[in-house]
Amino acid sequence: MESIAQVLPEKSRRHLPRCLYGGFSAARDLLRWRELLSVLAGRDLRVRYKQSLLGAAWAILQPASMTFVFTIVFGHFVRVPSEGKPYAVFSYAAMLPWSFLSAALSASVGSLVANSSLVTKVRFPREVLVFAGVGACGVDFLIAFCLFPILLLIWQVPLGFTMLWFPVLAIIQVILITGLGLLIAAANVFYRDLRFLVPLGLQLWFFASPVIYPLAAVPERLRGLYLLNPVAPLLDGYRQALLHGHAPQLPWLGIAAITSSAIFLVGYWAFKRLEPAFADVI
Amino acid sequence: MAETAACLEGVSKRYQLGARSLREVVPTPRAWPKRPPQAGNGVGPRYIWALNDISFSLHRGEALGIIGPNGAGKSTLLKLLAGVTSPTKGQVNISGRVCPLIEVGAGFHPDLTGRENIYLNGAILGLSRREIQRKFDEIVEFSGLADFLDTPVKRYSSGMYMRLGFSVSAHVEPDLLLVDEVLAVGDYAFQRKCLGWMEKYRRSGTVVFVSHNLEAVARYCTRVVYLHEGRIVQDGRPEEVVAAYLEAQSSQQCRERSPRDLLHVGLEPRLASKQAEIIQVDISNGRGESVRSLRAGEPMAVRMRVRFKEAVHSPHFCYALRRGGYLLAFETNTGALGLSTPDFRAEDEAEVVINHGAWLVGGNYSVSVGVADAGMRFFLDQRENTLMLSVVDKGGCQGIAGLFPLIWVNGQRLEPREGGVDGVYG
Repeated sequence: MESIAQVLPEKSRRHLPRCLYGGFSAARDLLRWRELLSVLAGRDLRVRYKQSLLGAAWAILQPASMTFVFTIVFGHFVRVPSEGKPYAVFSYAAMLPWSFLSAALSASVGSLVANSSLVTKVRFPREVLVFAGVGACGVDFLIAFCLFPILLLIWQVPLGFTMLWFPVLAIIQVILITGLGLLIAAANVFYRDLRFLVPLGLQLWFFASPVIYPLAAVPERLRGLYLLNPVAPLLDGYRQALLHGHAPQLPWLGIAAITSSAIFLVGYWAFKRLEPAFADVI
Repeated sequence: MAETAACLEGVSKRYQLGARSLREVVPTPRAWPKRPPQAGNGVGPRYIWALNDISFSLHRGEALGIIGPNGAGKSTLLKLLAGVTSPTKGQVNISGRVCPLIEVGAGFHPDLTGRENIYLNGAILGLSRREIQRKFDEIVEFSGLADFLDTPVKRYSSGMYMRLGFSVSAHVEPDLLLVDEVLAVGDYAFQRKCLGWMEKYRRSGTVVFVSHNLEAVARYCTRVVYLHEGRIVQDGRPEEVVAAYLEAQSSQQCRERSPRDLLHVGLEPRLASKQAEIIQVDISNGRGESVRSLRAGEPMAVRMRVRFKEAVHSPHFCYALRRGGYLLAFETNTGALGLSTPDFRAEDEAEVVINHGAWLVGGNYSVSVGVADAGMRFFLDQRENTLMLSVVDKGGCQGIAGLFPLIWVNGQRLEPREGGVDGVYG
């Protein structure tokens, strides 16, 4: 029988080989616990929809109602330019991924603290809790995405093969969200006020991302800086692929992918480093 | 050589008192000036060592009991064994699957049905979906909740809730089971079922049992560890370690206890007054020899020598026998028996002899004696669990009262068969 609980004595220096070894054993652990991951994600989803009247329709209702309001305000009152497409589909294409990010991060912040009884009593890789939260929101995202082709049809926007970019963009987004989720979930265990900071941060980030307005609205000289925000090329990419029938801007998408991966690795490392202390502090 | 289920080497666990900061766990870059927090300088964090240099090996098939006063580190030790936290120093090695019965119903969500929660709880405890499906019927049958499986768990009574949780935990078939006072759940019938299950489990697996119920620990465990302030004080046979624990606890408190603790009703607690002092206690057999071991039924006498420092009017003498130090076998005092005792002047000595037959089932008993005032309101002096007496019988009996019956069937007295006494009762 293999030894499953072996702990580093004292604080040891990190060496690169150990870091890689840590990565492999983390991945192996996670594989063993993959069923728990799906069970927990299933739990979140089931609980959310059980006693609600609307059930799964809620997944669609949120981005749809936001889009509706935005269409009225920014499509008709203020008339924000929408790259030549009807404002409703223009904003929905970005609203969907943004809702996913927002919901997933909000769920991640409290995911460890909300399950504190599990954290202090049962042994399993804690990141499963964060992944489950992100996964549940991902399912919502996919359900809401099903509405999208209907919207395109209503507004007579042609569907193109570039839709196939969707999974690529979604995967990069999931990597980004998960990395951030791990970071804030771990930090929240020690600093509980993060659950107030996160909604605030998300609101600010919302305006720093091209959800309501097109990328073109950002002045040229600021655009380089603006595109360092990994969400920006992603959202623009969604629009390009889903609405305009172009591939996303590849250099910027590549940078977004690298940034997201870096955030994921840092987030995961920090999470695993802090993990042994969770049960003591939570 | 028995396989090792768990091994702790030089394990110490430190907790920080007060608010905790991220700065300790995340490594500070070398560029930043070092700010070593020192305990005691009033600025840095204060620490407490919950466990201090603990080392022991747990072998497969052992049932280990952990006893100790509150704050001794028992729960911390369990957490380390569960793998939920890591030691500050030392190593914890565990092989196999661990199931903590510490939180029954871990992960239960009130909005989900019993059925869904079985899958959830099972997954959290490490079972795969297939394993849960395979054991599903057994789990349901054990819990007795077959009719309620499709009701949300929030509608369950607390007893039902616990039963469902325990049933799932019971079927995890772990290599190491950790139990922490969780057996006080459900009604009597279910408790018996749980104990029966634990008994069955003990034969095949390894158990660590933390409890304040010393009788349960002594009865169930094959080995007991006495923990005090984070260190192992004693590690060995249950009856010995439990007796040692009780002696340590009672010697701390004996000056503060009143005759009420010996189950007399209506007395006020008060510090023992030291008007008298018990200077010697001894046990002798029928021939007057000082002994610590007797055969069941043999006449015995407990002799107590008391020196009175002041004049005392009609003091009463108290006597108690406890099995293993905790279970009361017998208790009485001259006051309750309505006996009149003489007065004593200062510097007088009294030799008190308490004579009876040792009609007890075989085992270890501890003798407690005391001298109390005439109104049985407070002790003048007291010696709790001061001597251990070992009683030996022919075997085949359990309990305390040594009744040792003769048995007839159809007028024919039953004779011993070949093979002698069956080992059931040891």
